[in-house]
Amino acid sequence: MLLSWLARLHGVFTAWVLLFLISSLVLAAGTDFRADRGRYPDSEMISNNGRPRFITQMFRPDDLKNRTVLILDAPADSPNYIGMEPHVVDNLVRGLESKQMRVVRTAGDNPIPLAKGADVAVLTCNFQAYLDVDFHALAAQMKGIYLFDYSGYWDTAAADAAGLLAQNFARAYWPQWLDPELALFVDYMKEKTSAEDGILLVPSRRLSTIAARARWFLALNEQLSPRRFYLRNPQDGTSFVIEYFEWVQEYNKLAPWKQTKKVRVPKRDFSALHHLTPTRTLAPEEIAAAQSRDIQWILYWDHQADFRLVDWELVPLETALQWTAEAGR
Amino acid sequence: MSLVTGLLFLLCATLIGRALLPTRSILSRSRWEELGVAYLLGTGVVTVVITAGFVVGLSMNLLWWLPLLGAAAAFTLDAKRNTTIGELAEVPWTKPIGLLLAVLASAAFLATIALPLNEFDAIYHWAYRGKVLLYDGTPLNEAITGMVNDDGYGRLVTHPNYPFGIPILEAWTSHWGGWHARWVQLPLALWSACLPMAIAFGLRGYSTRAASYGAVLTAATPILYSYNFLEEGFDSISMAGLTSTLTLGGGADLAVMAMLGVACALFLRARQLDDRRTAICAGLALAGAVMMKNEGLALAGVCLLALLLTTILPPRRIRVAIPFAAVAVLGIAPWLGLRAQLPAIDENYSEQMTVENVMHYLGGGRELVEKAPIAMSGRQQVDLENAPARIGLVLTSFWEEFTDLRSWGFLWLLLIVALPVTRQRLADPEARWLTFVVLGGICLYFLILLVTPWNFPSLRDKGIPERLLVHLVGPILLMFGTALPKGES
Repeated sequence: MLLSWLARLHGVFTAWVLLFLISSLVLAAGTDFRADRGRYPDSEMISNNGRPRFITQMFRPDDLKNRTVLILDAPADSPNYIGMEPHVVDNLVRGLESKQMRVVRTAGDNPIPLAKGADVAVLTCNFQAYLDVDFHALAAQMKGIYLFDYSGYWDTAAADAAGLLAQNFARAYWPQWLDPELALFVDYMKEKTSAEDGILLVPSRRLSTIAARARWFLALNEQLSPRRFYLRNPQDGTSFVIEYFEWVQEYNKLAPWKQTKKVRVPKRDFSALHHLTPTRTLAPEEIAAAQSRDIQWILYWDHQADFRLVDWELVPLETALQWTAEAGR
Repeated sequence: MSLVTGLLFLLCATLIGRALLPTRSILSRSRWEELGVAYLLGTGVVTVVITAGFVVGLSMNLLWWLPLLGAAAAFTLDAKRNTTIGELAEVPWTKPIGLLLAVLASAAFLATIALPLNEFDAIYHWAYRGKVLLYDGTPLNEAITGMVNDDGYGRLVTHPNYPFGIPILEAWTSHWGGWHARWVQLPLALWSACLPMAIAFGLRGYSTRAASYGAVLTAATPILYSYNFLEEGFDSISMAGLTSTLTLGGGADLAVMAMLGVACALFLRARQLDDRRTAICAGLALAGAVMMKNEGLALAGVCLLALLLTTILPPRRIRVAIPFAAVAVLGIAPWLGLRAQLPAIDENYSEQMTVENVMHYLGGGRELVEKAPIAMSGRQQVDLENAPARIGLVLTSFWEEFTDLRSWGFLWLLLIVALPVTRQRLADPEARWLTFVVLGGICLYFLILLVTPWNFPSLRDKGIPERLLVHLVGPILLMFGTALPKGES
């Protein structure tokens, strides 16, 4: 008797299971049976104290008074948009002004005319007019190229195409393989390389984050298979997050980039930010690794939690070797 | 085209599995039980045979034909023995229950393929390997073996010594039409649908009521589909099918669960009928579980140890025990041969499972707080002196799981009431074997987590131990079925 009743009690969970399965199917149908980023929770500000150091450290302290920051914030009487809380925006503004920087707030107005002469533009919320902003028009008005996205909603590829460098400061909750810039870059790599090619992954400089999301090489390795990707110490870089932390520390300690020189490329295939390339000459151990394997390409990258086109540059091995040889002369 | 190849696999595996099963006159079953058991058995056999093929140097291109040839041979054999295979038995459930099971099975199948591969493990552990098999034809390729080199540079592969069951199924599906992140999941979409059929099949020898109960209770267990559903309130329903709490999809845990479940069901029937052929099928299914995930190997060890313990008391049924164990070991051996050639960089359970380590943590050894992500990132000071004892954390997590209704329903309560504590129940050798398997499995996972070299709270965040304990759903519900009085409705 007891067994039967317990069994029936457990059997009630068929309703729970049905709720889950039906919800899964209906919601998947709602996004065309694709894993849509829109179904994940909204991006969240990583820091909600409004400290301005990310902006101020872009410039020399004695130069801050000559710099202008455009704050794209929501209209005062508007409902709550996603992004920074209004009091955090106020903190940020106060912080910037205390450093003698000039601050212009859009408060829901068209940001293009207000962007004239701005060195930095800061997106604080997902106000639709800001998300649809014409980046080319914005770039034409701005003096600088820096966009700080605190809401995580700007299309960084579109900004890049206009020659603006967008930095995402929001934590995304959708998985890394759904990143739209990653998809663009994968398509580019498929076009540029052949399936048999070997590619050596070379960090441009110090690995600046330990965010697990910054392991874009995992996604590239899977999505671009059978192309052969090579990495230094992959047994740690691809393992559990703890090993990955150790991988970051170990690479930064080894610091092969210190033996190399930055290289500016005259033309970039993909990013419009020609003067911000992750390219450099190769360290001796990188040359040895490339030459002892069937490698055709060097893929330079800057280690960031957000996938930005500007952080990636694919260069033929011969070109990288030529740069290194020329720098050594 | 991959859709067609995927559907072709479902057919091939079912035909192969059906041909391996004894005739219906020996091993009675309904159509649905036969389909469920045959598919799981056929899938297990395909992964075992192809893994063996890799060891002897054959490539996926050649091995791809084996399931097709096997299915053709099975079809021919089936046509020949059509008159001797016997009549199908009645389904053990009523029509409404049958309809409910069909709805759940269909919805689970559709929910699996509703989205393309969308989870970390499914993509980086399994799909990558599937692509290696598809493009390079063998796991003994630089893409898997070339991770560790003297100069410090190597290929990228997560956990290189993971088994190749799931990748084999994905690569097989992609053979015609290329890789498709949705359709490669077709062979993986039936684990939750088939397990209730396998449990009903396993319990048929007890009573049709036990079989019916077994099927429904299995299908009603939430973790067969997802865990922690609506944990964050009803608003989080918008995330249904999207988060890492999904067990359906391209992961390997349900595969181990289904293979272990069908192995136990087959072995139960083999012992009851004293039938060697059924025992051989059970051994093959157990080897199939090993092909799906590293934990399958440890669970196979538990099953064989449980068998040894069961045979201490009569009835020993050595006639079925030996073929079961021998076939399982033979089926697993090629994987061990292959594994020995792959880099072992982490997840080396046997290395951690030393007496010294176990005693250290059982005696209150502290958690490795210095390996917590927040400590590793330097965002928090490590307080070694006040670090909690690992054993307390692991026990708490097990307790949280056993009482987590949204993931397990009343499964763990069913296990407790089904434990053979009376003399009459202890006299049932099948119940004894299942008890050893289930309790052995729980103890095994407890010990693994006790000695893990990782930070345990980080593993907990990633859905451990629930993703391990789900492997035991099959034997738990078989155990419950054996405890049901035959006349009870």
